[in-house]
Amino acid sequence: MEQLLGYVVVGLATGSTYAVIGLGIALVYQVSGIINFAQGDFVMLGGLTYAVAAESGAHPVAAAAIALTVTAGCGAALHLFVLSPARDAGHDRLIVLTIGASILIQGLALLVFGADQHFAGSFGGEHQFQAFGISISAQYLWCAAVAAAAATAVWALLTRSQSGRAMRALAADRETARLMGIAPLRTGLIALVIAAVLAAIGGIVLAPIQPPDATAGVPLGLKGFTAAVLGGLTSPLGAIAGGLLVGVVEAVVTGLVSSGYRDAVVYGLLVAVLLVRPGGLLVAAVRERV
Amino acid sequence: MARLRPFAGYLVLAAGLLLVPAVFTRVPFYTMSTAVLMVLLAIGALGLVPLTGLARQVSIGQAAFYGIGGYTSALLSTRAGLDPWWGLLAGAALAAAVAWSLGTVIFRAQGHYLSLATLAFGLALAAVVNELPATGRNAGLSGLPPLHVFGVSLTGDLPIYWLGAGLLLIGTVAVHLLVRSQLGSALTAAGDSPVAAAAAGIDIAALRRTAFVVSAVLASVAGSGYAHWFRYVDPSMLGLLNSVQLLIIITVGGRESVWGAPLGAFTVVTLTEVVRGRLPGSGAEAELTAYGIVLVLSLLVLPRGLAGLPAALRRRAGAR
Amino acid sequence: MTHARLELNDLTVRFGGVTAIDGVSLRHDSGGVVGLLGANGAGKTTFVNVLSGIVRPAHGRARLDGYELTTLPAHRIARAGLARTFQNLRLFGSLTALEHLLTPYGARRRGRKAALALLADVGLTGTGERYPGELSYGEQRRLELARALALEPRVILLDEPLAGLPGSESDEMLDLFSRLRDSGTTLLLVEHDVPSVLRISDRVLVLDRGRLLADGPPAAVAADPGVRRAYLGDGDD
Repeated sequence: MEQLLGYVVVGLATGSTYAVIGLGIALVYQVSGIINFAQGDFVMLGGLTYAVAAESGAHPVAAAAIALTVTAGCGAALHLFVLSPARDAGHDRLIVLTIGASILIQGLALLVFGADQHFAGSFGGEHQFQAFGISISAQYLWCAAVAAAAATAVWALLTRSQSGRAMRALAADRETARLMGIAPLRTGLIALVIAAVLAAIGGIVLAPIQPPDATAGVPLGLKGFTAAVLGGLTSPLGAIAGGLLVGVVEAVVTGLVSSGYRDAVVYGLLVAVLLVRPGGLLVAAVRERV
Repeated sequence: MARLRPFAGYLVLAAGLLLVPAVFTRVPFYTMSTAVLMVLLAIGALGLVPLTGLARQVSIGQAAFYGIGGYTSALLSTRAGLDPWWGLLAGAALAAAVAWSLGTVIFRAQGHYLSLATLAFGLALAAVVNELPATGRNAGLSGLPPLHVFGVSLTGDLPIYWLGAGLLLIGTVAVHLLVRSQLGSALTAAGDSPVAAAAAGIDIAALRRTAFVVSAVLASVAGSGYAHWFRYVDPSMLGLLNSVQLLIIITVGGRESVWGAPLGAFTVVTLTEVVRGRLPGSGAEAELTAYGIVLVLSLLVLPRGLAGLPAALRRRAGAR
Repeated sequence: MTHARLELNDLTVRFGGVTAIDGVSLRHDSGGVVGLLGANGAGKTTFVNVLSGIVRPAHGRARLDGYELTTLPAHRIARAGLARTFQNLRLFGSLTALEHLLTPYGARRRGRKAALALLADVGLTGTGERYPGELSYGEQRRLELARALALEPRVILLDEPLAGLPGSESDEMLDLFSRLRDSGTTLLLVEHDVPSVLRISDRVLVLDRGRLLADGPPAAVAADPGVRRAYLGDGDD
């Protein structure tokens, strides 16, 4: 029983990173109506750039800054060179386009960084602490703290800034927002860059726990999807709650059953939610507040 | 003239398929096994024409049906000792049943749930197949018997190629008839404007489900064919990359036309071979990059794919 | 031929916190043209959307000849005899004009000849093999009307069918509506063009912020002081 609580703690910490990844997916979907299948590759790009920079001796803060810049630039490029030119295309083509972008980023990462895993040390050195009978790496605390800070920053941005208000207006009613002079493309660009930054943050804090390689993005992006869909795809708070849930389910299944069934359970949950409650598990609870 | 065109198309496809063995055994980097791969992938991609091309529904889980075909064939022929053809039929029936049930639930809701639901279903199934003792876990199942026709076992690439080419031709005619039928124009209407189609009395959910079932059956047949050709199945059959590859094939080839499937399969497999052959080393990175570039470029520059190229050129010439 | 019977009972539609249709009740079973007037944002298009099943009401009911419009899926509503056009044209870009008229439910059974006759009825003879992109705007509007008629509806909802049409084409369209009315079809005409609506309608409804502000014969509605104040007098069109 005590161990179960330990798994829940680890799950919440990893889940908080899925939450920020999923938050980026929900944000882009809300603002642009695009399901961005390249989000996982932004996670990989952020984590891998960070790990490679750290390995080559950069100070962690500098390495993180490089990783964030590279990923944000990649997000902007995706919007400017791939999504904007196809803005008149239907959703179906946009979905396939982001899949194409995902493969492309993965391929480029393989060309640039090679196929090897790269290692980055834990923030502030290796520490373990004991909780509920299991030993937990201090990096998990960093995960939770950084994710919480990132989510708070996004919340502040959405509620306090002009672009944030534009994003919420577009999400609420696209036609009316356009009539009010909000530029969907420019706002979509901002949303995608924020999503890329969120993904990179997730990648960076996870890098010491799960050393990234060029293919690391797909599973992480899928966790982010599961998070966003559990939350109903349109709700930032829902995506965060969904991410935490995915993390806990994953950690508990790994701890109590076997790591082999982890993916089957998480994706099974995703299938079940899509089939039974396509509006998301948590959407009723948070709809009015976002 | 317009009425003769499909027959001309069938003839060109049949002639192309007939010529493949003669050509592929004489030129450098093509082999008969790449030819088999091409026809199998073309069969799998064919089902995406009604679903993605006409109804504009994106499935990112076709590998699940490919895998259902492959594993049903493997289990029935090795464990139950049934004739391989029964395995192929049973796989297709199972894939149809799964797609029908999934489709019934998914298409109740409007939106882009098919892409997410098929993605999730494919991943969940792959994860389960990777763990279940009955499916041989990550080692897969081996020792499948070959398919046979008139008592002759089809071993080796050439006989399997002829079978696959025959199936592809039959599949192309069948899907083409479907595309040109009332069902096809209803699917197109639902893809162009779902709301207006519903207002015209078209049951969009049932239509989309039908297209999804067709795509599942074709993917399953391709999977069974692959399994009896390779005589071995493993969980990588259900991998995300296989689903994406089918999507790339139909996008590059042209998703609104049945000719897109063979054109796309030929192009994508050729690209794979070229990239692998020219660039030494592991090749995976170059292959992925090439896939990504081709997919993004074709969507931006040639939204109707290679099959839409003649029409695009004609329009450009006419515009002048 | 008996006319279609439409019954609305306390029909209410909400989007988030906004009430778009607010407790509308009415009965109509005498055929003819029912004009629906209202300023921008009065809820006219929402009214059409809720009757055609695209939008679900928060509460209240709408029935057509005993069919519950508020619970049936959109395609079943169409099959029950209610057709519609769209304010922003929604044609099938990859289908020819003739295919548009063969696609609606039941149209294939009536055959190619019936579709060609329908095409002639709306003045589109000879455009059967063309795609919407190759038709003029006025022709596209008429094609959309013909597609709705291919359902052989008992009620047809026309969402601003005259918008953007030059005077001559708009008169032809109004002629078409008269002929339809004479054949027994009930028309619900949502329009901005007040004089046209008053001229052709047998009954006029005025929506104001989701509520039914006025309901009656054209002359009475045009003279209603409340309507003049809230809508006609403002002249914001």
